[in-house]
Amino acid sequence: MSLREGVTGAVLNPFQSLLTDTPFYVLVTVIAIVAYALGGWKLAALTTACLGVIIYLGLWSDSMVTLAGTLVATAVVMVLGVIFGVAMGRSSRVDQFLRPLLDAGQTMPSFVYLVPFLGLFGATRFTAIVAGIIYAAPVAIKITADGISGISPTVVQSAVASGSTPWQVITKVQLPMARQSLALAANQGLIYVLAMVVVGALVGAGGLGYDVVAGFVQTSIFGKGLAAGLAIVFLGIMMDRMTQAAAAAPARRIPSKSST
Amino acid sequence: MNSPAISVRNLWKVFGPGGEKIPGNRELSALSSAELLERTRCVAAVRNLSFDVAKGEVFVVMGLSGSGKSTLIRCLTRLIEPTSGQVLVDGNDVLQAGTAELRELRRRKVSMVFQHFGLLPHRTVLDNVSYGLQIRGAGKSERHAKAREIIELVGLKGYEQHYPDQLSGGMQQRVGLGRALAGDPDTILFDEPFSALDPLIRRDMQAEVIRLHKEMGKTMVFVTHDLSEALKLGDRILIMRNGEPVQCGTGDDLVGSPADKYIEDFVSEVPRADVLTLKWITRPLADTTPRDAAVLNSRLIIRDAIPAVMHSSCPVLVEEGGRITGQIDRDSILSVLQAAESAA
Repeated sequence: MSLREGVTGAVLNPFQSLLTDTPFYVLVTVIAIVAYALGGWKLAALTTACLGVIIYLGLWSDSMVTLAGTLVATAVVMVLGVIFGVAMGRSSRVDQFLRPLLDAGQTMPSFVYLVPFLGLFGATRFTAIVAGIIYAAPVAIKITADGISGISPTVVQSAVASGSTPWQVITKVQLPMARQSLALAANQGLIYVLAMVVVGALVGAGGLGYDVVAGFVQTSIFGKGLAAGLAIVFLGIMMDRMTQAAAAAPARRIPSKSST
Repeated sequence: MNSPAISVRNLWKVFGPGGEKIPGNRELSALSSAELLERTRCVAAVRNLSFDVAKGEVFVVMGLSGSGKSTLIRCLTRLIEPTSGQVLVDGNDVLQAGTAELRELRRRKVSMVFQHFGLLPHRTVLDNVSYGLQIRGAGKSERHAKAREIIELVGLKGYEQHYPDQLSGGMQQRVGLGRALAGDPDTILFDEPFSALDPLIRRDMQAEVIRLHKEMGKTMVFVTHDLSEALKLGDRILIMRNGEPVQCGTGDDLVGSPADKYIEDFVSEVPRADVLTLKWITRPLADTTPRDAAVLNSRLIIRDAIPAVMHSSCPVLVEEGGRITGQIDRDSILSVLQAAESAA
């Protein structure tokens, strides 16, 4: 399967190597700095603590494998969320067509679509990521669509009346104004992808999910399975807090009247 | 005479399924709104409307809510697609224009001010005003320079770096006005721009529009439901009801000779002495009136004529185009004032 190999070779493997091969102290520092930029000292302390727990549990490498898969899946989810969300938010006809499909996708138990994907792509990380994407994309698409359609029609119309192209309306008006919804979509997309980590391990995701699944079946490594479950939780808390901080509106200083 | 800035002919906008068939159908197009809704489930928001707006004129479209005035103004740049008819801007047929041509029209020739402002909340005043310049490809320094000039013109100097939600309603609408002016269009469309503002601010903004019109001489099409606003701003006023034109004329035409009972009701509370000109109360010249009495122009507003008439011991002559057309006296003025008293 060329698509699978292409994506795995070009994106997944390099990204995963980057996360697993970088010394943990470098990565912890980088993540803490990003957290500080997004949410200040408190967030930086929280992320460092979460990563500290993971290191203490001895699951750093597996956690980075899971993190790589989760981030790649979330990135794809957001791309889908923006493309379909904008299309739905701009056209009620597209909305009417897509919404039942998304509803169906959300109600379908995840094991149901794992079967055909397993047949198509085999038991690989790629299959697990696709499963995560299918699970998370409907949420991200719906949140984005609601954000776009919730924008005041006067603002959109005034942009059209100024002679904006549809692309200019999307990039200069609708996406910036739906910023909060986009951040929320990313946050929820991430959480949903993470929820599929264990299920994905059944079809080859590896990482923490694999440790959990292995813990089910082999009583000798039950403890490791439990620890991996904990690590997933801390990874989740860290990413949830970081995306939520990104979603919060940046503090805006009120300019003094004379500043020009 | 110059060709008109905007020329509208037989314009229709029908909302609803199969609405495009109605303008061409003699039987259906003659139905009243209620009958049309019942028979076809369509709503004719604009019915067979024709008018011209001269260059540099302030043309006011007035009507109550639901009269189709907001639909009409949106049809002019096809923010709402008209069902049939013709709209010429500078002689170019807007309804035949392609996408790119239409965009150019909106970018350079006709801009719009909205009732609810429609400002971009994530952009500063400066970036809101320069938005139109940005989307047509002006560089940052060029568009900011132009925007600063416009911001000063609309009285917002010092607020360049503020965001819209940090400004009062009146100031937000000044930003809207600035945005409309920034692209240097020939025509500005106003869709009830001051209806959301409180009365004092509204009066300021009306004065602002009058000042800008005097300074820049732009053609303006102004939609309002407020008669006093229409009379204050409009060179000519078109009154609409149920999508149809009822009367089109200058303010004193509407007040002096209302076309029907509807307009009469509309204008009944207008202080007539403030709107009507001497033309409407001029009486034939009496033989007893001395020929060397004071002379006033027939286009003078009645209220402005009061001092001259009250200080004259005899009736005052009225001239139009250098020719004496008649006379007025204290009684003629008092009767206008008294009519206003009894109406109020």
